[in-house]
Amino acid sequence: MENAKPAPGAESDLSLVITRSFDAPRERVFDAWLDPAKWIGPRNVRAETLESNPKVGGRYRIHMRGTDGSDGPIVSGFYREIIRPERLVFTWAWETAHSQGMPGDETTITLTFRERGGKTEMTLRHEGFATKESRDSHDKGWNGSFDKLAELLAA
Amino acid sequence: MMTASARIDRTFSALADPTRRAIIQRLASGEATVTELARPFAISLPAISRHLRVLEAAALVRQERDGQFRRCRLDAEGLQSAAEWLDFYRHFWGESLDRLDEHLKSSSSTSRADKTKGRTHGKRKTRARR
Repeated sequence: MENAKPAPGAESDLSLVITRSFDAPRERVFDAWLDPAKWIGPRNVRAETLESNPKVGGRYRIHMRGTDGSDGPIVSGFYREIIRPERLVFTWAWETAHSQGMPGDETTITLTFRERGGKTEMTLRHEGFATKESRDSHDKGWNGSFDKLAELLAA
Repeated sequence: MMTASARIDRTFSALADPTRRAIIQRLASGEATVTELARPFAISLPAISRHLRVLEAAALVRQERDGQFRRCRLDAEGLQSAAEWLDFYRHFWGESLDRLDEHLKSSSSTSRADKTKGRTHGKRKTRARR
């Protein structure tokens, strides 16, 4: 049976991983990511595109306003990889103060799209580390200890 | 003020060391003095102190003076910011992908819309949080 709910993340290395299946061809799901203002954000958000340049090195900027007309933060980033319809990598940073990051905090989002029986299985990986360099500076050997540690601290 | 991702980065850097992870695990079973912490390791007290300063800066360990001793205990704050980051984006992307799903359905051709009508609605649990 198809499960459309986001899968719990494999976040032992502090990245959030969500896998979702969409009843649409890969191209359509991929293209929707290049124009995300139509759907991005929680339900109380109405996003507006401020800038969109979907090519490698190109920038996007999205204003997340409230559906009630209230102002909200601006998020922006740069496209790192655009391999239609397989893979999309871009950076993600809040330009304005935000509960989950201050201006300049850059994170990375990697999307992969797989064709599965006429549907598209998409995996979103949102990494809390800005650059490959900062990730690589971390000891690989510690992966997996995070969960154990969190358990210890919660005990 | 340290930013959220800088905090997370610092937490993970601090944990990227086997001695420091062992210290954390030792402290998970109760507080200890620096001397007690140093005992199982083949390293000097100053070396342990350096590790403790890194853990303290990452808000993973707190040190308190107790007479001439320094007592150490765990500080959950360091891992807290990492957990909050995950919670925020799990919710953010969860709802965004629900909306993407609806967007793909509403913008698909009518024949496709007929074909898929009523299939996924009601099957997926609606997220309770707003």
